[in-house]
Amino acid sequence: MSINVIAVHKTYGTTLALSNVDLIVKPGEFITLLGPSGCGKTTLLRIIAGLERPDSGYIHLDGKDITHDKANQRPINTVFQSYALFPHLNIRDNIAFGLRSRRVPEAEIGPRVDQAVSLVRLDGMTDRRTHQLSGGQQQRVALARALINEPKVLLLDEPMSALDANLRVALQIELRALHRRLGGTFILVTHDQDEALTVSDRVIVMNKGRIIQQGTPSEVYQRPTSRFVASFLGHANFIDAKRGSSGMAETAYGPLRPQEPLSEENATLCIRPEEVLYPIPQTCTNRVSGTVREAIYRGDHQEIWLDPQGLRFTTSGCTPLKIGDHIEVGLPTDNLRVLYA
Amino acid sequence: MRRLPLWVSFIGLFALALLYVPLIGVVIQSFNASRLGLDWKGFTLKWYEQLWANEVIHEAAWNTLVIATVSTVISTVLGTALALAFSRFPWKRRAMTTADNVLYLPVVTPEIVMAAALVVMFSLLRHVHAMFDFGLPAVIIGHVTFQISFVTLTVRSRLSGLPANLDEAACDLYSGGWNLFRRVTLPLIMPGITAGALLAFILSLDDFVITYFTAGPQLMTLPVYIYGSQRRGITPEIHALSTVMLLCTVVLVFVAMRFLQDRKGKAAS
Amino acid sequence: MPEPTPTPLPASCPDTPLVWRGGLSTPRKLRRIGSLLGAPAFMWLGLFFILPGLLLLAIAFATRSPTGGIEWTFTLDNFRRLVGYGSFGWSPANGQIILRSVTIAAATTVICMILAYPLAFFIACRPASSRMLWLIVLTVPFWTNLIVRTYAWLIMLGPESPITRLAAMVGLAEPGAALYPSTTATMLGMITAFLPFMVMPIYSSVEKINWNLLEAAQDLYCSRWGTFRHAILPQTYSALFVGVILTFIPAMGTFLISDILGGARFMLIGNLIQTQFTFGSGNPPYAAALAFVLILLTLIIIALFSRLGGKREELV
Repeated sequence: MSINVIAVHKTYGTTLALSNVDLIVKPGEFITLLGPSGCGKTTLLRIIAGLERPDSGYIHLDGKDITHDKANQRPINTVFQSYALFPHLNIRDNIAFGLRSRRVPEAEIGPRVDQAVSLVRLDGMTDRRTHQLSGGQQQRVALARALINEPKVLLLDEPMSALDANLRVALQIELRALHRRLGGTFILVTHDQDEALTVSDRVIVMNKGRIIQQGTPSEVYQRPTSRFVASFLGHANFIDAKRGSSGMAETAYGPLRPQEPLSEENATLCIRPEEVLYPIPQTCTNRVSGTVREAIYRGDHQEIWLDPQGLRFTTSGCTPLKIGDHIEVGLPTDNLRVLYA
Repeated sequence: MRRLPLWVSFIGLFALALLYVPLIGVVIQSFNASRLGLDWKGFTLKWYEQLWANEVIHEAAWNTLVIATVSTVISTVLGTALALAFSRFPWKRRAMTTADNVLYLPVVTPEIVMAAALVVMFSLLRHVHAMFDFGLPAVIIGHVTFQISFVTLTVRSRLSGLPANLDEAACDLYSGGWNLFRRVTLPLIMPGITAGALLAFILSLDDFVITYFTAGPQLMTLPVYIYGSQRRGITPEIHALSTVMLLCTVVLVFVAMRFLQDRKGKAAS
Repeated sequence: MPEPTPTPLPASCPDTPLVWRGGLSTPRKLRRIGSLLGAPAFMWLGLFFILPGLLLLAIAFATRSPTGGIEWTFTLDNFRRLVGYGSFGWSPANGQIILRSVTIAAATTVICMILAYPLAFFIACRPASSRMLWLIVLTVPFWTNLIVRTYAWLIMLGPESPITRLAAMVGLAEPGAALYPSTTATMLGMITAFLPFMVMPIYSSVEKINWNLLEAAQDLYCSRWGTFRHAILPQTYSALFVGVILTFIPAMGTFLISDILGGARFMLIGNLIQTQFTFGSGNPPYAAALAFVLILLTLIIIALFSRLGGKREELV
């Protein structure tokens, strides 16, 4: 139930979709392929599913080469982006489709469908047509239709993209619980960083056909290795810096002490808005002052844009700031990361 | 509810009247006891009884139905296969365009030209095999020729409306080949096939020109019978026949509309 | 994001396996299956449509045999005769017939257009509950046999019908005489025959009209006519064009309506082809030349249609 993607390369005409991608998915892992549209994440998923052929490279499933297997021979099932439910079949027949394809005896299909239906909590709806269901229900049918086949790997192609925000969060948590319960290997494709951070054990960040960074959600969020990852996952302030003396970095805000000394002449310092300290504690040495350009009320916190450099940060639980206030904030050394890309 | 200027509704209704007045006139006349002329001489079903007793009309009606049914079956099979060939396979653009042009030609060619061409062809082919002699088989061949394009285009538009990922989903769920066609593709395009077949059937029932040219002296169909009878002189029997044909059309339209509505309901998914 | 399906083909290597709609195959194999599926229909069209058409074209350049058949001697006489140079010198009769066909077809098309627009709007503006019924009302004559509809006019224009009496009363016709055969009768027959072909496409485009544009136009101080011209009409152009094709081409080729309602002297191209095409008494090569002219006119209109951006899908 492990998947090995080995040097997979794929082009469409002159467009590069995947550039020699390597990826190892461990058994029982829930990973997310995260990236902007056009980054190749869907292509990679489709290659694993057998709906696309790589130009070169291999896909191994449990050490067995399945690169040349047809999609209908792979013990892998997919939840499609728009669900791809069969409109001419009712829910029961949609879910039973895979079992019927494999000529499972009807006597066995009935109980298994019931089991799958209750797994996704759609009891009592099996005789409905697909268009009579809401988006969330359709998504669950798609999930049941894939899971009933007991796939070694479950692929999910942006399964939440058509749902509204509240439902999405509920289903993300449900999906996570489902994974814990069933314990298979799940691979999810998404462009939604919240979704990636919520559901997966490991996040694979992709851009322009390459894997940029991978790690647990907190690793990728806390320790981005590139400007792209830092800006794609959450918000970040970027400060251009030059190497200064004794571990300091010269920036437009003056000299700042980053996490580690710069190893190259030029670098970018990165700090997330919620890590900026205000009010500023005595111990903080990296002090930046400025005028409030914009103060946005966000309910539980306030978002502040600071002139002159446009530094963004959030405050909570203190007196609200007003536009024009002159303040001083701290950029703690521990959170001031150094990026070279 | 959008309001229209009164004169627009007026012209619209006038246009409808233009379509219906003659038809209603025929229906009324079919119940008129007067043999000649339009003056109302009382209600009668005499003409319908005559119609019912007329052996020639029986034969003509039977021929019309046989031609429509057989030609519809042939053209639906051929047309559906062609539609599948068109939209499911990786053709080069050039080949597609050429095939497309061939497909649209019968749609826009004036009937009389097609009829003339068929006459020429059959007068040669009759020497090859007696089947191509003017008569029932020739008429059926002629009808299929103009039906194919209509069936193909109807089925093709249904096919192109189907998302490609249904096929992929089926493959992902261990289906493929004939199994996939039978369980996914065919049920999904069935509304298109039925609509195409219905269209073909109506076109065949409606056709006069091609039948007239290819039927030869022996074969009689209803339109040919009516055409001939107005030369022999109009009889109230023809009024009755027209009324019956009109009634059949009305039934056919209701069936078709019912069916199209169902299809719309399904398409909503 | 790269278009997920279906994959564009690598044109260079026809035998590279590729995934096609989920299944694994090679372009060569796929094309073979596709050809097998398409072949019967195309062979049928080739044998009974393309080949006969070409044959017809060839006959247009052949000579009439003394028995009224075809003699394979190349000649341009048929085309010369078309513009009036017959065996008895120049006569305008043939040219007149062609001109008359085009004029009648054009007039029919224009009148159909004038009637179809209001009718399409009328039906489109019915409440949704009754619109289906109105559509049925429109479809019934559409699907009624043309010969029945044409024949019905014979009764309506017969000597004793109310219409004829009305016409006689206002002095448009002689009392006691039928209104057919006449040009008016033919026109009436043609208009009612082809009106549904014009209404159907216009109706389906009116149904899809974006009425917000109408509100926008009114919001921007358009007059009623201005609103129609700028907000409504442009949205129906392509349907109108389809309607014109579906009306004009068959109207040009008609022979049934003019035959029944126009009488023996009222000849259109269609009637001429029909009479000339009888082996024995007629002149098939000449009829073929006439058919050739009809095809040419058709192709010109279709070419014009696609040149102006018409979509052929709307023709069916």
